[in-house]
Amino acid sequence: MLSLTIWCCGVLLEALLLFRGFRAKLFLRYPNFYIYVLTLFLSDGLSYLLLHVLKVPSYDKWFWYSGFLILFLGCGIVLEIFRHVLSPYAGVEKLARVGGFAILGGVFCFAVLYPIFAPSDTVAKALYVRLQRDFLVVQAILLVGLLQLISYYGISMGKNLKGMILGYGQCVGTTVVIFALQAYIGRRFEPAWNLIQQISYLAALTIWVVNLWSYCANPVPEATIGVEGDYDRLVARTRNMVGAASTELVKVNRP
Amino acid sequence: MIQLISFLLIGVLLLLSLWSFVRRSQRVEGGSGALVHARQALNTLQGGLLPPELVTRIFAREDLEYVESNTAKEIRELFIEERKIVALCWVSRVRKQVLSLKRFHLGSARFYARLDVRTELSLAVDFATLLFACRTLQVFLYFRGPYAAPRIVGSTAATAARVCKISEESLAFLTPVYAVSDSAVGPARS
Repeated sequence: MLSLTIWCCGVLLEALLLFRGFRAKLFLRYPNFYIYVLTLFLSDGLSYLLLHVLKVPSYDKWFWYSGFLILFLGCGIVLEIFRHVLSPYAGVEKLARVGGFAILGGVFCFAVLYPIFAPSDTVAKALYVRLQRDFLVVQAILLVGLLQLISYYGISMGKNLKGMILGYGQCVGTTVVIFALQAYIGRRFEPAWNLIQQISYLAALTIWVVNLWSYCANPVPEATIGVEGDYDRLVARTRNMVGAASTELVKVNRP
Repeated sequence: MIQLISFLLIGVLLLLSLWSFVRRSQRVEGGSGALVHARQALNTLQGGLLPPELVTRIFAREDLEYVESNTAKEIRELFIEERKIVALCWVSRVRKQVLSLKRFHLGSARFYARLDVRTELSLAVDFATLLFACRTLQVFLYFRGPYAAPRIVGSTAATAARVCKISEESLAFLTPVYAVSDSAVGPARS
């Protein structure tokens, strides 16, 4: 009953998020994110219809296919975050872009090829769970990397993107931890795991609704210097400074 | 088991990163503000923290000798304790200003499309090493006191000269791009 209530709350929050996305014209600014939310909304709504109203026996098959689609679109959110957060910082964006696209391509290929070669539903289910876990781990690594870059280069951002990162990040982090524990402890605590995951997802939706209520632009960074050729000079000077200072400090430490 | 630990670590690391992301304060951005901050850091290092006479005074052995020859043991201990606090405070402020210069580099480098991953990584290591050296110095002073190693004075003064000279050069080549004065002014690209 609790699970069903959370499910319904989730669908309502998704609907509210989509409504605000249309009203505040955020759809145009964050298309990948809203396609993801729209897919979740349709998937959850249809799942509810198939499972509880129509009681369709082939629900499982629908679930796996929608699961793959959501997995794939989840990577779109990560790319959306990368694009918006790093676009004013050409250098940092370059570091993140290559890795992000490689992973998206890999997952897309798998999602296309998998239904063709999947031998049976049981194998499909086992493979799906494994793929979901591995894929979420990859996303978690990407998000950790992005958060480290943001912290290291002191990148500031608006409320919308902060909310997007926080909501999606906590959901991915919680799911990865649960999958790891599930693989070790087994299915004994499955109802508890499911409940935690549902609550985490509900928390993500709440964070998104609050932070994406209206458009909040990212602070525009002021470039310190503009000429591309200056980078080499900047690096050379900084390297000299650090090298010289290190040498002297080593001397200080070895009297 | 290894898989469990690695997955758990990644999940927990992500949650911790998010926690620090939520708590972090907005840092000074690039632009004229960063340039002025870097200049201020350099000025503080050159004028306030690293002049040889100040460094010599903090670690002056003559002061200790004077106190030792004229006062009681308790006063001598109090004197050493307070000198240690001053020395530690000095290293800590030097470290803070070096951090400020590091931020300036990062604030400038992040805009370059030609940013080289390997170079940035090696610079990150260099900065980390320098800051670690400052920390080591703090530990050294904390446990052995300001008078344990006389040569520390000369070497620190040398560090001061080197850091300031090169930092000044580093900032000097950026200055013409802006109409920068000591007060914060908006960027004026040439």
